Formats: sequence, structure tokens, C-alpha cells
Amino acid sequence: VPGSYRLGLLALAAVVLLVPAGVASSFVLNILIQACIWGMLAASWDLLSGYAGQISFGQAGFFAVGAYTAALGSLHLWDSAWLGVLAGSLAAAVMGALIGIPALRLRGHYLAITTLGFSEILRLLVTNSVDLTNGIFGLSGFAGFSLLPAEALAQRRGQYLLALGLTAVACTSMYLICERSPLGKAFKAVREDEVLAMALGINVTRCTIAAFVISAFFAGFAGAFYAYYTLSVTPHTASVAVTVLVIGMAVLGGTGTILGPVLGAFLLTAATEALRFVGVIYNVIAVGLLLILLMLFLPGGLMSLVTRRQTLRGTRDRSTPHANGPKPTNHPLTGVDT
Amino acid sequence: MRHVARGLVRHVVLLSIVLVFGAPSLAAAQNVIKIGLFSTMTGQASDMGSRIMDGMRMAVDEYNAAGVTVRGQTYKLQPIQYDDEGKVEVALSVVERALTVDKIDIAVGFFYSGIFQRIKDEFQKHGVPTIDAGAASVQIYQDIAKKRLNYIFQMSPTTDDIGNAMYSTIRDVIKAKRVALINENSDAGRDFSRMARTWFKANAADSAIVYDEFITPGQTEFSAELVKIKTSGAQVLVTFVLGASAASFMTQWYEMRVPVLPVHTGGTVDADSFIEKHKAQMEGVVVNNRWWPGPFTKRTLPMLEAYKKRYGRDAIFFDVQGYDAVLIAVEAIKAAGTLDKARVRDAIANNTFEAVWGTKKFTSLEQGQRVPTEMVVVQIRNGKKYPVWPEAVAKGAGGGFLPITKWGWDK
Repeated sequence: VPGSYRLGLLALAAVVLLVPAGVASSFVLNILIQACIWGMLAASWDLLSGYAGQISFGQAGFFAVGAYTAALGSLHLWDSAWLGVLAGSLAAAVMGALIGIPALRLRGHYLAITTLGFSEILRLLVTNSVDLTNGIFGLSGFAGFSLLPAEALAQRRGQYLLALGLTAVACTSMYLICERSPLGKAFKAVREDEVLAMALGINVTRCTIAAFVISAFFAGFAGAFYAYYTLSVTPHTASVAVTVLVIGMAVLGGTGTILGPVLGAFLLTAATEALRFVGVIYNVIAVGLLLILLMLFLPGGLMSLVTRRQTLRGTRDRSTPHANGPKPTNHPLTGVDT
Repeated sequence: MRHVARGLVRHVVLLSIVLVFGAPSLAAAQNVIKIGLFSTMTGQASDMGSRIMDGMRMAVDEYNAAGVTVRGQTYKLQPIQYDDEGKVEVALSVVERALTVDKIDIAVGFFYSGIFQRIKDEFQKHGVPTIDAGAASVQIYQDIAKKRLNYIFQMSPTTDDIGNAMYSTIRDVIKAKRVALINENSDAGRDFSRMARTWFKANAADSAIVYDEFITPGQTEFSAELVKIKTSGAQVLVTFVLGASAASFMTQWYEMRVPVLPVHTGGTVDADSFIEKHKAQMEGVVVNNRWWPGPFTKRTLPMLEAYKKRYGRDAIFFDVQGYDAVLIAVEAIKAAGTLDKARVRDAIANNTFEAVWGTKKFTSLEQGQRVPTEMVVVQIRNGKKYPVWPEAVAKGAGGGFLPITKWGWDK
């Protein structure tokens, strides 16, 4: 990552961090908090599908496992929301391992359908286990994070800082795993060519299960935070609509980048709210149109703006493209140069 | 291509800036009552949610045409529509917007009980009087009483009102002993199932629930369920299936010749236009019409006529409930003589309102601030409704139940 780009990112992060100090609107903070939650979930999907190449349509299932574990635990077992976040993340990770095993025998569409089936089974389970989950009505009446101020706006500011902090921790961890660790390199190798990866000595089985476990852990992490923020968990958290939403965010931001899905989440959440002024129902159509336009003109997502700039700079500097590096490959999901 | 795209983006950005910053100034006006109209306009329940919104919009337009006078001053209603999309997190966002950005004076509408159950606490926190027109779960008024949510009012008939009417009809009028249940898998559907079991156990011990199943809202294929019902030995089939599902359900019940009498909770199938369209299929079917569109008050018939003229179809009770919720909100503000939220809340709690669907008076806070509503159950014969319960209404309107001697498909 070039120095100027890194500086730009830091400046952007600083501006985002300063928002709560300047904004006296709990509504805006609420939107930002929701963007953080979806950003974590979208990034977790990106780790599994964008980096490791395991196409998953079951991310909402891991999210729901985290949310329900946190909510049920807080209702019956513990008082600390932090414990709930940890338990939710771990429960989702265990579920990720269980789903990862059949995934070893499946690829592409078959894997997508299997993971979709998992989240649907989970949704039906929580919908129908009325005694445990209160069915379609969902769980509520549990406590959120303690030690936050009682005054509404101050409380929202505290929640925002918490959301931002957790998002930063989760996304930095995922970024480091994917970009700075041998495991991340193995993810990419498996994504590009499994046979070649095996020939290079990469344990594909371990690598695939690790991708599911790590991705599910962070999806559960986002789910548990969602539970403690909204103080309500319903079967909708496991719905395919949630998965589609986060895939949309990830593709919009740029897959195989971790940061891209977070940006996509912020853009899509903000656009959905900002476009409400066009009217009820029309706002949903407007968001759809915006997505179509962005996909038409930015098929590689927001992050492709950065990579395109880098490529142009490289072209200028070296006069011949890819002079010192390999030719970019097509990303398996977007078909765009990475 | 890139040049065109850049130009397009520039225009979209400029237009957005004009609209975002221009919109509030266009809306700014003095003596405005900001009324938040909440419903589920997109997603699975959008057909029914839209009906509540239609009723609310019509009431707002009528009030604005006539002028709203509060203590001698003329006010204009500024309706702000909010779509919760049937999702809790979206509902929380739109409510946050309504309360902190738009700063509404009063909130009306709502459809999903599960969502209203969560967001009602936000209205209470901000002290905004809120009238529920569509969320029917009993847990809502129980919660209002338990948590003493004095700004929240459940005007919607509740599932126990609806259930009592249907189960009494089955016991006293149809005199059936073997009951099948098929309900949407929603909070209200769950309420109906639970309530049926409790009610029959307590009030008709010789009856038995022989089938109890839930279907996904929006489901349009019922063959599997209908085959099981056919073989269950049930005499009546109590069903809470709304929207597009209702049309498919009635059609498939008829085509599969299931000799079990449907007793529908109402919603969708009680609309005259629906009955006209499914006249042959609905012969003999019993429907909780919820209300009897007679002249409850002097407002009833003019509203029904105006609705038909405006939308080109008959009003169903969801339209009427939406209309009545706005009516109560505005009349309460008039009675309070101020927009002060605490005084408006007191006006809602203490006054009696002459609405389209009868005269409305909320119960005390201890009883959940609801409006117990007497339902009317009808039987469809030759495309017309004949009241069968309660007995007084049935006699007065020349109704009464005719046992099925020949099913529609045999005629």
C-alpha cells in the first residue's frame, strides 16, 4: 500500500472518528452504527468468499447464531454484554467449522446452495422454537452494554464509539489475516487454483475450514453487537435478505479487499437513508438504481478506483504495465482485474 | 462513454443536493402538525400495510381540505410517511428519524406486531403520543399495562377480540367439534394458534384441535397442507392467511375439494371486491368481517363512499383502521387545544371519539390503553355477506348461518 494512500486512509479514519463530536444527531449516529455492523458482516463474507473463494450464501446464519447466543445468554446466563459478544462469536465459529466440513466436498453453486440451506434451516429453527426463542416475535428485554451514559444523545455517542472501535478491531484483524499472514496467502492460493495450492504444499482442508471458522467468528461478532445495539433479535437476522444485503455491500465496495465491503456498507446504508426523501417505496427503487449505476460504471467496486489509480501510476512510472509484477488475474466473483 | 458517465454523475449529485437541502424549505410552513404515518410498505406484508397507509392518507387529505382548527388557529397536517420494510433495524432507523430529525408531533399506523412491540418503547421514551392501527398482538397491550407506557395506544382490534368472535361462532353457530388451524407464521398467527387451544379447552371441552400448522407469510402453494387437513377429519378450518396467500388458499381449497368449512379471521377475503371475484369458491365460507359496514356513526358511509371514489375499490377494515387512527389523533389535538404532547396524550386517553368504525374509547393504562372491539362474523352466500354472529346483529340484518348441504364444487 503506497504511503499517500495509507495517509489518506488514516485521514479518512480520523474524520469518521470525529463525526460523533460534531454531530448532535442521534439519527445520524444510528445510521453510522448500523453501517459499522453491516460493514463487519460484509467484511467477514469477503474473507470467506472474496479471499478464500468459498462462495457463501449463509452469512446471515452465522450472524444470527451470534445474535441469538448473545440475547439468550443475556436473558438467562450472564449480565455482561462483553461476555455475550465473545460467546456469540465463539458459537458462530463452531457453527462455521460444522458448515466448513461439508464445504470441503462442494464448490461454486453447490456450496452456495448448501450455505443458503444452512441459514434457512436456522431461520426456521428459531422461528419455530417458540419456547426458547419466542418465535417470530423474537427476543427482547435483555440489557445492552453497561456503563454508557443515560442521556439519549450521549448514550448514542458512546454506542457509536464502541461500534467504531469494534469494527476497527474486527476489520484490522481480518485484514492482517488476509494480507499479512501465511494463512491469507494460502486463502488466495486456494481461491485461484486448488490443485496448484495442494502441489505447493498448502493444506487445502485446513485452509478451507479455517476460512469458515474465522469468517463465522466475525459474523457472529457482528451479530452479537447487533443484538446488544438493537436490543431485539428476530428470525429476520437469519434471512436470505440479510445475506444478499451484505453481498451487495461487499461487491459494491470491492471484494477481496476487506476495506471495500466496509466502505460499501457505509455507502449503501447512507444511500438508503439519504434517499428516503424521494418517498416511501421510491427510495428502495432509487437504491436499486444507484446499485445498477455503480455496478455499470464501477464493476470492480469502490476499491477498484484505488487499484485503477495505482495501475495508472505504475504505467506512467514504468511505461510498461506489470513490468515488475505478475499480470493481474480476474477475480472469481467480479471478473475484474485484481 | 466515460465523458457521458461523468456528466451524468455530476447532474445526479447536483440534483441530490438541491433536493436534500431544498426539501425542508419547501415543507416549512407555520401552524403545521407533523403526523408520522408508519406502515409496512415493502416486503411480504406490503399489500396489507399499504391499505393502512391508504386509509391514513385519505384521512389526512380530507382534514387538510376541510382545515384543522385548534383553539381558533388553522393548522395544516404535514404527513410524513415511514416504511419499516418489515424489519426491526429499519423500523428503528425510521423511528429515530421521525423522533429526532423530523420531530413529529404524533405517530399513527403500524402493521407488524413484532416490530411495534420493539419500537413503541422509543415513542414512549420521547413522549410522542402513538396510536397503533394495525398491530394486533395481545402482547402489546399487556406490555403497555406492565411497563405503564402511557403514550402508547392500541386502537387495533386485538387477536383475542378476533379469536373470541370466531371460536364462539364455531361453538354456538356452526356447532363444529373438530377444528383445524392454519395460520401465518407471524406473531399474530402464533397468537391465534395459542388462543384457539386455550379457548376451546376452557369454553368447549368437547371440541378437539385436530390439525395446527403454520405457513410462511406470502406462501401461495398449499397442496400439502390441504391434503393433511382433508384427512384430519376436521369439520372447520380456522385460517389466518392474508394478501396474495389468501387468494391462492381459497382457490386451492376449492380446486382440491376439501370438505372442511373455512372460517377466516378476516383481512383480504372480507373485501367486497375479493368476494365478487371469488364468488363461486367462497360459497358458504365463514369470515370474521371484523366490522359490519353499516352506519356505525355518521362518518361511516361517507368515508366508505369517498374511499371507493378515490381508490376504485371497497375499503377493508385495515383502510378503516388507518383512517380512524388519524381521525383520533387530530380530534385529540383539537380537544387538547395544543400540540403539547402530554396534553394530547391525556386527550386521547380521556375522550371518546366518533370514528368510522364506531365510537372509540381507550381502556385505562392498567388495562393496556386498548379499544375492545366487538366483531361481526358473516357467511358468504351468492357473493353476499350475511351476519351470523353475534346473534343480535345476525337477527337485525336478516342473517343467520345456513349449514352446508352441498359444497360449491358440487353445484
